[in-house]
Amino acid sequence: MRSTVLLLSLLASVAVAVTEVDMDLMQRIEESTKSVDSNISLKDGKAALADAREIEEMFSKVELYYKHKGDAADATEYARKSKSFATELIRQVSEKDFDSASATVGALAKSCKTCHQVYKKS
Amino acid sequence: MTNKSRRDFLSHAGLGLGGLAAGGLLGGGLLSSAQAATFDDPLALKVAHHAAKAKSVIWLHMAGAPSTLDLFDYKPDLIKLAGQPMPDSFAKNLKTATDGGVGALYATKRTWKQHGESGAWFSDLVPNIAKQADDICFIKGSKTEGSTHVISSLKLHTSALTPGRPALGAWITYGLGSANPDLPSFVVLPTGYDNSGGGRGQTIWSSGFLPATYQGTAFRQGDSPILHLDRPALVSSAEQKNTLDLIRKLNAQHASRYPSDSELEARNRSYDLAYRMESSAPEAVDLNKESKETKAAYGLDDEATKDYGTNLLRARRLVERGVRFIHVISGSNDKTYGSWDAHNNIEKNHAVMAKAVDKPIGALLADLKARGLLDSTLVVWTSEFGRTPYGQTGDGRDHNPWGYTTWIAGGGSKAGYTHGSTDAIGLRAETGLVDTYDLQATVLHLLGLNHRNLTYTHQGRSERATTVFGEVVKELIA
Repeated sequence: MRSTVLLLSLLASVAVAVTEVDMDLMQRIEESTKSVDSNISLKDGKAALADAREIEEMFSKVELYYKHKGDAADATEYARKSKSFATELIRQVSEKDFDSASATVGALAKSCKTCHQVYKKS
Repeated sequence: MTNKSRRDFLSHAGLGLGGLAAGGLLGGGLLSSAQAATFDDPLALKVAHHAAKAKSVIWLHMAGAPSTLDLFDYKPDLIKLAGQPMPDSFAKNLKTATDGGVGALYATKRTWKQHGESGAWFSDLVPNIAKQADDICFIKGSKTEGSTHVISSLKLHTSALTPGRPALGAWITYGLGSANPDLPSFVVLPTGYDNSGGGRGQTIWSSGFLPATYQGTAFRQGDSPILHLDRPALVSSAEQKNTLDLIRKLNAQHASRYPSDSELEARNRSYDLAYRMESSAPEAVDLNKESKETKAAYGLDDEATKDYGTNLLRARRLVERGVRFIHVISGSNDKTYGSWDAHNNIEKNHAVMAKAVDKPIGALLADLKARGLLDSTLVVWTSEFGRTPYGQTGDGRDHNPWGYTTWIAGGGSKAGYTHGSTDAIGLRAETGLVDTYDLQATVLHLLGLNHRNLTYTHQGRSERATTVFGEVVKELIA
């Protein structure tokens, strides 16, 4: 009985964490995307790498959120695609390939816009 | 003392406005056009990122947002379905945020015809623009964000939803410099009685965080386009000299304390530019040398088209004089309607507004082409958003950021081409989606600027005109 209660409370906390993702994560992603764009433009590899890693982590949460939410296969796919752009950014910035990284930020931003066509206010 | 002799006096005495303003930098003396382009001048010509197709932009801002469903985007299904509720298939996931709600689908009394070899559709409201069909490149999958004029107008011009970022014209001036040191490089030409950009005002031609010298300069209608350019009749030249001497000293003192104050620097440069513009600006807008036929073509002989036609003729003259970006804001002399914002009585509103702009725009395109200027001048016809296929208040249309038409012409754009489309009723962009960021990126590209490489560092962050967004729409380029 006690273990069941513990399991239920654990599941509840996971659900809360996933719900919290929905509250303000998007604004943090937007801010981090602007930041990585700027740091790539300024060729600040260290700061850009930190931003890219944060973006990758945040899109992992978004992907998880939409998986749990259900009935949102396209949003899950957009989040996965955005996460893969962030992974690509990490590689390009690590190799100091800032021109390619700049183009990848453009693709990432476009992916965000495409998803927001449907999900921005829902 | 006449203006000319006063200028001679000031010039010989080294006390022209420019000399006074720049005295601290140059040890006095009037700045000539040549000098203005040589010292550390933020308006000096700069090298473009790649070969430009366009040298200038005439940005035709249709303030208030016309219904492109009633001008260029022919929708037979909307006519068939008029009076019925909007089908759920179109409304899925639509977030309306309006007071009027979603009314029944609405059709106006338009008649439609195809024009030119391109076969583009035009309504009876724009017969003169229709004559230029084969020079126009339609962007029928345009989309934006926001459902208020202020927010969407800011986004259209500054790529932000709040005030504070530079307008596209400011970025272009920053990126390319001025091709004519005797005129502002970014000029704004408001039209009509409600002529502040339909309530948007200076925030849409601001330099934002760029140095203030890149901001747009609004020209007034009439012979003296810029306020206070002429010496007041009751002020003697000696009095003016004493005043300007004092201003020079105060500015020099202030500048020594705040060497990085770009607004003061811009003000000093404005004084200098103002002196040179005493002759150049009135000449640029003086239409006396234009033929009677040209004036008539632009509609200067008709009260309904006179103001907007005058601004477009001025725009052509400014292009001829190397001005980079001319932002013309639509308006009309009819005090019933100051903008295209037809929440009700769209028939009357659009009849007035279309009449005010149609003939002048048709004449502008034909005139630029006849003079060999259309190849190097990009004309952009745009607005903050479009209008809904569903009705509002019985005889109007609400704001529609989801799908509408923009068009461009000349300046290396693909003539006689239509890119993208809206759905069957014209509610949403369905193919060839072009956001305002993409439009800006494409305009910059045609001017030889890569929107991802045109950057300015502000508060430690590298900023660009299109923020993190924007993609050049290659299909629009010839």
